[in-house]
Amino acid sequence: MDRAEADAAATVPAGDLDALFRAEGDGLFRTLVAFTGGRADIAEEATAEAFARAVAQQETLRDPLAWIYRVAFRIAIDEVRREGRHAAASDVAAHLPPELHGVIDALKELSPNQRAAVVLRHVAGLDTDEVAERMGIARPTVRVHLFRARKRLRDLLGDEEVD
Amino acid sequence: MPQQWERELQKVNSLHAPTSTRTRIESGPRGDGMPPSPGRAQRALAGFVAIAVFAGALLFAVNAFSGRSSVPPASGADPVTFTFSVVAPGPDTNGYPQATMEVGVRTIEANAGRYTWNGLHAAPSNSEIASLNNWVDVPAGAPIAIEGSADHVDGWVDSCCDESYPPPHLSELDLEHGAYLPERGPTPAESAYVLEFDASWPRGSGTFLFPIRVVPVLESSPSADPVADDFTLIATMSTPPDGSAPGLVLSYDGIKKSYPGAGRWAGEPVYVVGMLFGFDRALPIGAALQVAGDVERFEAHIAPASGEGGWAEPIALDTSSDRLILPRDPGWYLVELDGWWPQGHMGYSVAITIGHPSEPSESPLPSVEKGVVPDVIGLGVADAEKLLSQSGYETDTRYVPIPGTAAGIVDSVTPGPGTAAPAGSRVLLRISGTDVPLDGYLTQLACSDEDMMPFADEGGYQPAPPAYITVNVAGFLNSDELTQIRFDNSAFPGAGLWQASRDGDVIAVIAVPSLEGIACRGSGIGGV
Repeated sequence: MDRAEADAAATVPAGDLDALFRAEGDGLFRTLVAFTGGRADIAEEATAEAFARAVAQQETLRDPLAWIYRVAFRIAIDEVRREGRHAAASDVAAHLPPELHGVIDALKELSPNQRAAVVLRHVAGLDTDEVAERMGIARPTVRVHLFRARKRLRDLLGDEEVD
Repeated sequence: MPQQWERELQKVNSLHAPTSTRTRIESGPRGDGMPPSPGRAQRALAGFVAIAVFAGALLFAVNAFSGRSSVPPASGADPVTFTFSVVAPGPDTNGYPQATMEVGVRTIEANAGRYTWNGLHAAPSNSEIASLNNWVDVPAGAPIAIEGSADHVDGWVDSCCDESYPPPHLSELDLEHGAYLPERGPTPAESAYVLEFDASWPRGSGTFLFPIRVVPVLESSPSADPVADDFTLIATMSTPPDGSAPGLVLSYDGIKKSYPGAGRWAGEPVYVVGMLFGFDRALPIGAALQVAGDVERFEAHIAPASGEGGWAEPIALDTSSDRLILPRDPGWYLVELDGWWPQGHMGYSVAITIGHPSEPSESPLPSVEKGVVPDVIGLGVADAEKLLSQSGYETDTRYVPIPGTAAGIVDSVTPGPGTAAPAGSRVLLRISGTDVPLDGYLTQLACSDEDMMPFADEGGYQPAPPAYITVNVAGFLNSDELTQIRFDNSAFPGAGLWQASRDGDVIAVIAVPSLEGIACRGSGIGGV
C-alpha cells in the first residue's frame, strides 16, 4: 500500500466494510468496467484490491467509499497501463454479455475520466459533487467531463427521445 | 424523457461484481510480505546522521549568539572542511590566496573575498558585495575542519542578507578548540548565515565569505524516511511491491499526494492521460526539494510560468546534493523529475507554488515600461487592466462579440502597443464579449474559460421569452431548458439574463432583449 492511500485516513470499524461491499460493490465494479473500457477482469481485480486494502488497514477510514473509489481508479489505471493501452476486442467480448458491446464500444471512445464521470452520474445517479468526491477531482472538471462525454455519446448512440 | 444514449448507458446496470470478488478480498491485498525484487537498490543518503536533540540545539543556539560557538551539538554530523591555500604565481598572476568549502561530495569556492598578497591589495566590487553567490546547504551543528597552508585562520558566523560588507559578526568560531556550524533557525530566513574567515600567510592574508543555509541532519540509514519539515518538499519515487511502474509521492506540511508518471517500465511504454498535476500547498521561499525512494538515479528540472500561460525553458537543478534548492522568487513553477531504475525510466511533471504569488508575480505578466503602451492583446481583461495600470494608464473597455475569440480576451488596444503615451492617458480595450457580464454569471457553464465563446443574434421575431430566445438564437434543441437568472427593470418581457441547460449542464447565458450571449464551444448555441 502506498503512503498516499494510507494518508487518507480517518475511521470506520472494519466490520462495516462488509456491509459497504454488499451495498456499493456492484456500483464500483460497473464504474470500473466503464472506466477501463470494458475490462471486467481489471474491474474485478481493482474492486477487490481496493476493498482488501481498506480491510487490511488497521486504521479506520473517515469516508471509506470515496477512499475505496480513488484507490480502485488508481489500481485500474495501473493495470491498464501495465497490460498496454489497447486490449484486444476478443478480450472484451469474453468478459461481457453481448448486449453490452455497443455501449462499451461507445464508452471506449471517451477518455477514462469521461467514462467514469458519465457512469457515476447517469448510471449510479450521483450528483456532480458526489461524482467529484468519488473521482477525487474538482467539480468544474467533472462538469467538463460530463459535457464532453454526453456530446460524444449522443453522436455515437443517438439522441432520439425514447420511452 | 431519456434519450437513446441514456437508455443504452443504463445497460451497464446489468453488470454485477463476480462472486469471486469477495473471495479475492478475503485473500488480502497484493504485495503483503513480498520481499523487494533483487534488482532494486536503495539509494544511499550521503553521510548525515541523527537529528540534533531539540534541547541541545536550543542550548547551542543560545551559545552561538552569545560568544564563541565551541559548544558541540547533542549529536554529530560529518565535518564541513574549509581549505585555505595559495594559487602559485604564473604568467598572468603573482599568486593569490583562495579558500574552498567541502560539504559531502561538493566543493564550493569562497565568495567576495579581499586579500593582500605580496603588497598588492584586491577587494570585491560593489556588485560582488551586493549579491552573495554559491549558497550552500550545510548540516546543522556539523563540526568545522580547517585544512590548507595558512599559518593562522580566524572565523566568525555573520548575519546575512542586508548587503553590508563585511557582514556583521554574530559570533566567533573557536577554531582552536573545535568549532561547529550554527543550528537551524525557526524559518529559512533565520537559518541563513555567512561564514567569514580571515586566513594569513607570510606573503599576505585574505578574507573569505561562505553564504550558508543550515538544514537538518538526516539519518544515514537507507531505510529511514527523509524528515519532512517546514522547508522541505519530499519527492519519493519508489517501486511498488507488485513491481509496477512507480508513481511519485510529494510530501509537505502533512500533505501527501501521488502523481502518475510516464516513461518505459519493464519494456513497455507508460502513458499519462490528460492534465497537468499540481501540488496543493504553497511552499515557503527558501524551500528545498529532497528526493527519496529506491530510485537509482534522478534528474530534476524546474521551469517558471511564462507570460503566455505556459512554461519557460526548464533549467536543471543541482542534484549533487540530496536537497535541491528551489527558486526563491514567488511564483508558479513546473517541476520535472526523471528517475531511473533497473526496470526502466519514469518521468513526472508537477506544478508547484512558491511563496505567495498574489503579489506582482501572481499571474506572469510581461514587464512594463513607463510611458509606452504595453502589448496586452490576447490577455484576459483583468490582466490587461493590471498591466495598463502599472504603466500609468486609465482603461476604457468595449465589449464586442468576436467570433473565434473566447469571452474576456483583449482583441485590440487603442493607442496600439508600443505607442508612446504620457501617464494618465486613456487606453481603449476592445474585448471579446457581449451584454453578458463576465463576472458572476459564467461560473456554472460546463466548459473551461477558453471554450466560452460570445455570440450575437438579432431578435427578428418577438414572442415572449423563452420562445423569443429559441426562435431567434440558433442551435437550441427541443430538450434544452431556459431559466431566467437575472431580472432587469425593463418594459421588454423577460429582460435580463437567461441560462440555457442541456442534460443538466449549463451551456449558455443569453441577454434579453439584445440576444447577445456566451455559449460553450461546440454547443451549437448562437452558431458556436
